[in-house]
Amino acid sequence: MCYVMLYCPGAWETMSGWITSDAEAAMLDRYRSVARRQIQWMREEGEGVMEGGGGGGMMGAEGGNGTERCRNTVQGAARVADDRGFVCARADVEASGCCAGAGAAAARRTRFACDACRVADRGYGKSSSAAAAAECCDDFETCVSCCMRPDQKEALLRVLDTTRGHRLRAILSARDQFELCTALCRTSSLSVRHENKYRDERAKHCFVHDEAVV
Amino acid sequence: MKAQELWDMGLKGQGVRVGVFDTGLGETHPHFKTIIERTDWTNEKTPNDGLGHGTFVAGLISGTSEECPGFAPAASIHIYKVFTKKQVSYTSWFLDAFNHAIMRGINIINLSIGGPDFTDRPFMDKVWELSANGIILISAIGNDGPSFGTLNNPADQMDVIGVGGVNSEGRMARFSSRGMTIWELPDGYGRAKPDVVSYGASVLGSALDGGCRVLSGTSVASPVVSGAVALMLSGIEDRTLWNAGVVKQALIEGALRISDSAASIFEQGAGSVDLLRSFKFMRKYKPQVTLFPSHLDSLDCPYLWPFCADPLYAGALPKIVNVTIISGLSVSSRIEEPPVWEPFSTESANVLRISFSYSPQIWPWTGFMALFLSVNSEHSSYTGNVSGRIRLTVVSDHFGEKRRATIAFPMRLRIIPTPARSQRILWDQFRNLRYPPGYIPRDDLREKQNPLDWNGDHPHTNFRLFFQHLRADGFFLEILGEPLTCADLSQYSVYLVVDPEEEFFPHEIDLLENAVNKNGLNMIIFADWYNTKVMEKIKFFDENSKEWWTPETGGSNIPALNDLLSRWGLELADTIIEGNATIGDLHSSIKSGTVISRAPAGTHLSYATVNDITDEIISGDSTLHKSINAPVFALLRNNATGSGFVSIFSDSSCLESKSASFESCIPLVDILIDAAAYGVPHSFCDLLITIPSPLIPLFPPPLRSDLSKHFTVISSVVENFDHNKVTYRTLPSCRTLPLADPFVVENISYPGDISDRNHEAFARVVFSPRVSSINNQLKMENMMPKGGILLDSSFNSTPQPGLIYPFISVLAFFILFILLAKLCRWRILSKARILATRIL
Repeated sequence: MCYVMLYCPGAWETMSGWITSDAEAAMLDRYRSVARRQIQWMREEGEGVMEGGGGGGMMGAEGGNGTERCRNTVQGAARVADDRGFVCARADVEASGCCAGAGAAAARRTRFACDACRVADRGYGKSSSAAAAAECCDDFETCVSCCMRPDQKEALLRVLDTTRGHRLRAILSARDQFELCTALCRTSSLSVRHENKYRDERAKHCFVHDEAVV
Repeated sequence: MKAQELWDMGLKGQGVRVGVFDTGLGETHPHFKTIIERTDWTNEKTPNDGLGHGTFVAGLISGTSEECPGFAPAASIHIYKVFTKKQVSYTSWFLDAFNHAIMRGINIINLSIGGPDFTDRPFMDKVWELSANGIILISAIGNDGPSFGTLNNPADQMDVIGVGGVNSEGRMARFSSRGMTIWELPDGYGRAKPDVVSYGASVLGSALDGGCRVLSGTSVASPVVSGAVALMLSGIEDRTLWNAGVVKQALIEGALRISDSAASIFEQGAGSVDLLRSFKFMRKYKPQVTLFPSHLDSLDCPYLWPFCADPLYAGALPKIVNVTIISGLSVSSRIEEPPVWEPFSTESANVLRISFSYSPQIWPWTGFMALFLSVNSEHSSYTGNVSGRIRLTVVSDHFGEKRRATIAFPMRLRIIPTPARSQRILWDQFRNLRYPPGYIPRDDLREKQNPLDWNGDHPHTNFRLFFQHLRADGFFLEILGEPLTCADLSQYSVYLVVDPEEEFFPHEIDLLENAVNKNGLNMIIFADWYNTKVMEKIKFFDENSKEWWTPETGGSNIPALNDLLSRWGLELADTIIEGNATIGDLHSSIKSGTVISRAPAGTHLSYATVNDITDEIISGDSTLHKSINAPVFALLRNNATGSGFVSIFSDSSCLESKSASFESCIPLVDILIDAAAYGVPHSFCDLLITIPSPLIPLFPPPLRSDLSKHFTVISSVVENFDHNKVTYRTLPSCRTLPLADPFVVENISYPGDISDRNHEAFARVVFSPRVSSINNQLKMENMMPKGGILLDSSFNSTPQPGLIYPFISVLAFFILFILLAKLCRWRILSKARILATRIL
């Protein structure tokens, strides 16, 4: 599985002995370009199919033998987002880790849910294409789901290019859009002002931050 | 700690990823063989340790030195440097480093750090997020003991394993911070913390220079537990059990009460960690629920202090018990049906009244159930014990599987006849405001160590000695966390207000005036300093939040007290004094107190020759204090029949000292409470000066500070100040909770041995998965962080029938304030000591 060093957690072990900040910064920049190429993006059509084919198998997104498996956001008190971009209630998460799509559950889940997200200065539910605008959502699961929308790819590539320093470490290991979105949507040093207050008490989960903030 | 037995099984912490969030670690330290990664999140540009704290902590977890070995030498160690060698740290550094730990699939995070601010939402939300992702957080409870109300965040969070310290004899270490949590005050009641204790005094660990050294502190106790948990987990193949819920259950159920028989649950938590018992608990684990505390028993003293010291009686304000719920069913579970009150007899059903409040959602892994206990008013002369249990069912949706588990909370409660009015005292907790979130300054201006008033000012925290004294004298203290409209003032002999920061509603003042003048209530006030220039002087720039911090009030809120006292022609000044006073024949110290500036004719006053330090504090010039002779105590009696007295003392710090100490003013309270019950003794009055005409005001009263920018945000009483004109909020309605219907269960009695958790009084029902759920476990593992493995499947665990030791823990009214800034947000929790003891 570990065919690109970057993807292999073990790769860090070899570096541990000599990491210094400057060396690390150089290294992170080097891997930035690799990551840009290697991340698997959501396709416009179909459930859970990533761009780039083959490697998607390791994500467990779809088996082909009918036993679909999903990674999901694990942490939510009430809701969960799966790696196909669906958000659903915990009760609707199947043993496979996927948001159930059969029967009544199908109507209860939403995919690429951006309705509780907003683009800075344009209010909730608006679509995202403005280059410099923040994309922030009320809760983590919605943020991941909205970020998973296939047309977010360009915005996410820009994030990858503009992220610097510490936070780059956390997103460079992302193998696909789900992992990237999961990492980006977490609150971070970009989410706070005066250290202990959120910049925005409501929409605190952002996959794109204001450029002014970055 | 019985680590040897696990080592002998071949367990060394292999396959367990431990994140050490501390001051870093050098790359070539000879004690470490399993450092996977070192990252620096500070501005020092190196992950190396410049202080030695991080090295010591990492050594306790995974050091391989023979002289000072760690618990889990084969655990994979991830060093996160989040503190500089100057002990500087920021929330934002933690946020990014924590995110990285989630990404890395860290299993255990050790946080030998802490601070008093439990309102830093970005940080606390992140801690919950870590737990919700399966990371087990183990954190030092703080080194601010032996005073109570000194818990540190994040160890005080429900989902975090908060660790206190014991010495090598297994007795409480003096420095270890103690409960209760003060988030829930004033209207609720705190949770019991720490969760467990372990060795924290004079422990040998790795030193910066490659040798070994000795340190003490809860900073030491925390990695002892982190290392022990890493060791234990390497013997648990089922990785779905590697989470904060199950591990907390295992530590609490496995812990044994310490030999220090005086230590209560608010000091030792569930007791000292017993690695082998916890390990066996995990080996046999079935999804279940644990309560902490596990039970309530008036006879289980002093462990269940203060509950065991404080009987129930009819007419009292409800006693609140805050029980923490730990659910191992899933990261998120819920209480769908209210808890069920099941008395063990019809008599118990008739006598005891119970109401509940609880968190409907138990996330991450934890929640609370608060019990409000009172006695049926028809049983005001009842004497005896009542018993019963509260049965609680928790359900969860766990990846396509409905999980359900039941647990009960057995209770045996002492009921006494309603005491005479003369024995009953009303304590005003509603009048207390504290840090966090507001900058409520210290009461003793000479105390430079901690600029904040942060211990809750509660009879069970920093005024604990006073509470115990009153109980020993046979008085009953009822704690009011709501406005005075919510208590029947005619039931009490004394209304006691100590160090108030909150304002009074005008209607409350009317009620008090009437109760004192016409209904025999006696009002005893212990004030503190207030001076707007001093408040201006002690503002400071908080390096953490990059904001100026200005006190919201003085040591106490004298303008608010003066509004109340004006009804009796009394007034307090903005002069700040210190020294010793003699009231009658009683001594007391005054640390930054106030003086009485107005009093009507007939008031009995006590003067003291003290230092006026107002100018000294303002100017910082230590020569500027001057000796004055000023009234520091007033006792005003109204001669009308049926009226009570009003008394004021200059300072409140004196109530925190032991009654026997020269500094204490507890003997003064004794006299006053006796006077309230039986009349003011002439012998006492004769030693005071009775003024024939109104006091000539020599000291000016303070106006409300216009510096207090946030007071109206943190106050429940005041909405707005405008040029000293006050706009009040609407009086809140008093708490009413529905009474739980009793469902008598026959043939069950209170357990003879409370440690027998299989006793039917615990009604324990664990969740038994159907066979098909094996699939879920596989899936879950797929989603959870990966790691190495474990041990030979031939590993043989000894069957341990009575080991399951359910239950544990306590409440929370998540009063999560919009926070202000914080200061001294985190400190590293260690102390240097000389004597060495090896752990294990």
